[in-house]
Amino acid sequence: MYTAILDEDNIEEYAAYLGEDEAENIGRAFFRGLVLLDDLDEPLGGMIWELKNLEEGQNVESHIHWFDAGNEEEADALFMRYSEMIADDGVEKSEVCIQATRENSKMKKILKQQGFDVHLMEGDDVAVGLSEILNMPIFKKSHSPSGCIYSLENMELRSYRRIIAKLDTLGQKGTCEDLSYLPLSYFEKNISCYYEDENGIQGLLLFHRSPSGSLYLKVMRAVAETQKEATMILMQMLFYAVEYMRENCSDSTQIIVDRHNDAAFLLAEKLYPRGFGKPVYCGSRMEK
Amino acid sequence: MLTITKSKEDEKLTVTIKGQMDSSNASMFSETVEEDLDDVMEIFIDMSELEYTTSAGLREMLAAYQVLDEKDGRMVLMHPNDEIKEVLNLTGFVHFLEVAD
Repeated sequence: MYTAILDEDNIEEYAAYLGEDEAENIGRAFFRGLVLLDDLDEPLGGMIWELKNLEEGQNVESHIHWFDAGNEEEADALFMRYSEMIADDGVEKSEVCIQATRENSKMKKILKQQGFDVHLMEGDDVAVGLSEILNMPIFKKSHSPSGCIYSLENMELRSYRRIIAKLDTLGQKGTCEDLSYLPLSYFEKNISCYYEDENGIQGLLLFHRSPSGSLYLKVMRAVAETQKEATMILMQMLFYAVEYMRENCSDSTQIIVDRHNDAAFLLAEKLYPRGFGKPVYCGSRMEK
Repeated sequence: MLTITKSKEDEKLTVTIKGQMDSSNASMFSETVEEDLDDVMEIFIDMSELEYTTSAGLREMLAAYQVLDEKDGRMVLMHPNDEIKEVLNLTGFVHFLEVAD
């Protein structure tokens, strides 16, 4: 058996094995991946990770999003190559967080053998069905769109680059470490929207539609003089997005919110108090 | 109104939940099962008369399963209604817990 680095040239061969939602991340600026192959070039195992703080050059971390190995020997082969690659990137700490499934409970043991302290816990991703959103008191009634809200489809590329650069400078990248590298086309163009008035673009709400059809909230940001104004802008963008989904999306559409920081957690609790993070197996180990 | 009862046989604990579970009463679950968690390998939760649960209820069940998971134990959710099944689907519980109709 041998390992192969996943890249945009070969990812199509392994998309079915990895799952399309994971496979589409290969090619993004800070995502890396490996696949372990047998002598017939069939996948035995694999892993996909995302590098954090790489550009800052300090406290570089690797977050493993997907991992598969049949046994300890296969895991050893993967992690040996992984360790070489993350050493080149200066990674100080590895974290792993994989969806809790009956199959992945076996992964838990394998990851523990690799030095991770793995535990089952509630994850950050909260999934809510569109039908449930439309039944929420705040969204039950239709809202007339504000004259300042426009779909992302209307945004000029130059304006997109400018607002993304501004958010990047402020360190407000949403859930995308690589926000400044993502093309406009990465985001869903009708549900995603922005708020623009005489002061320019003051708000941005970006969703990504995964290959499996789920909508991932990636950026939700408003810039205003007061918190009250910022909240107003955010709510208007949300109303716009929900109205579009009401008219154009199936009730079974899943919207996924990543409660990746305190602000996102509080927002999710406020909008969807019934929300529960998809359980995951998580752990970490130091690399240096 | 929520009632939780239990019965234990060897390493199997059966918990019956009736009513509606939310943040005001969900702790009744852990209060009911915690003294048995070290001794059992299986927890069967009878949800046939559980009308509704919020995330608080799910957190309680997850907390109990965390103990079982560390020793390769098992949790089975029995006879959830359609609304609870949908929540179990959305939250991914169906992927790592057993759900029996």
